[in-house]
Amino acid sequence: MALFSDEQLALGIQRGNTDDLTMLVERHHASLLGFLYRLTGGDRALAEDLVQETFLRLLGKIDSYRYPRPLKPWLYAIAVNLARDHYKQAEYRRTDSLPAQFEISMDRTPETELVAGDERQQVVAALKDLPALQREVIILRFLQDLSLNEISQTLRVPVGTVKSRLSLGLQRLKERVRAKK
Amino acid sequence: MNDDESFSHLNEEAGSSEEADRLRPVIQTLWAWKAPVPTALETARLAEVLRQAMQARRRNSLFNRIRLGWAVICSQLHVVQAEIWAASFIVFSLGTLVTFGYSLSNATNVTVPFVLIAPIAAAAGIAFLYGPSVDPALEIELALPVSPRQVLVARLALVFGFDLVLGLLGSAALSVLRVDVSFWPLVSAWLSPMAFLASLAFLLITLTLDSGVSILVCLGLWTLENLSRLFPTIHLLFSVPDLTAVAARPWMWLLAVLLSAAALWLGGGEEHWVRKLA
Repeated sequence: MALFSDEQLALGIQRGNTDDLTMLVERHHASLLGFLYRLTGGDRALAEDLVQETFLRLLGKIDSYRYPRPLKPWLYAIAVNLARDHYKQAEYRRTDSLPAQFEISMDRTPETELVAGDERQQVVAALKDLPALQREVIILRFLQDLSLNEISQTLRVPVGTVKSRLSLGLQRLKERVRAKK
Repeated sequence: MNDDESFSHLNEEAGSSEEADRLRPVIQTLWAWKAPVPTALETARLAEVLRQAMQARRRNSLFNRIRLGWAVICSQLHVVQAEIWAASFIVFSLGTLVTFGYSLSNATNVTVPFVLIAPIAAAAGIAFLYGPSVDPALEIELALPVSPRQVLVARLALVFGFDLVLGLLGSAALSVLRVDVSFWPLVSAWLSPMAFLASLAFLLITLTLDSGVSILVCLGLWTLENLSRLFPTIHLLFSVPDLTAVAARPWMWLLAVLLSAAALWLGGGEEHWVRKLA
């Protein structure tokens, strides 16, 4: 069990304790990077930028934190919103008329090249093709191991909505994997 | 997360064990999509960036609050009617001069002219805090980065602070020029009634939005109070408590705080400002 909970660390950060900030970063850096890496379809540079921005945003809003509100869903909510904003802005900047989908670079980064096997690439590509809302819940549930309640708090939607997005997302994922074979 | 836990998730979300079995290879393949793990150096670098941001934010936060407070006070310096400064200065100066030439043979600290003048002069200044020529349009007021309540506090502090400084300077001058006048007893004689009358004027102007009403009520109360104290033989229709009595001073302060708080609560609301400027 951790010595201090995330919520206790948040209180410490509110008081200006830099050690608590370091501890929180050490605890969540890897999982947030993993989450954003997958959410951005394997763009490590973008994921790293978003991780830093997530922590900076958290720091900027830390005065509004009220103990014992769970911190982890809040952290992931900031990350999700930043990723959404990034793609919204990217879409706004586009001058051509490509469809409104996540434009990801999984085929161009060294990490994605390490994904071995055709089948794996097909699943990752199928995940990429899912609507963003469904992709988010699948990643949060099966790759980040968040509970349904935590996902509900992160995305600020009822648990029932999380379940329906998961169910629909898994169904579509299966169909797309089958179609790509 | 181990496989058993994940597959129990899958059973829940898939709806049936058959469907979960069909989805299992898909999820298993997803797990094979490994995310990069940051090195300890990368994590330390990120923590350092955030530590610096946190320290800069703390410095900026304190500095910005002081700067904003100062800016609000400075902005109100231009908004408060210029006549208030001149009138307060003239009244306090006259009070000091009259008290200087006044025979104190039969007087106590609470009956000297300066003590009679200071509270009502401050109340009159506060009564002109509001007014069509003082307040900008509502839209501009509400678009400011500070609330109407903060603007009021700044304005109140500015006018009351100016009167307080004038009162202290006058008292200091009198205590230097006249050996029979002591500084602190003189200050304590006018300070609590001044705080009370100023806060009463503040509440009245907030409620009625009429400087005349505010001044008249304060002047009436102060006149009655002084008549009953200076001429105890005059029989008034009702008894007026002695606001300058030593025993009454804590109550004057308490009332001043309560009246100011009530005025700020009433005057800070957006609805009040809409009504005021309608």
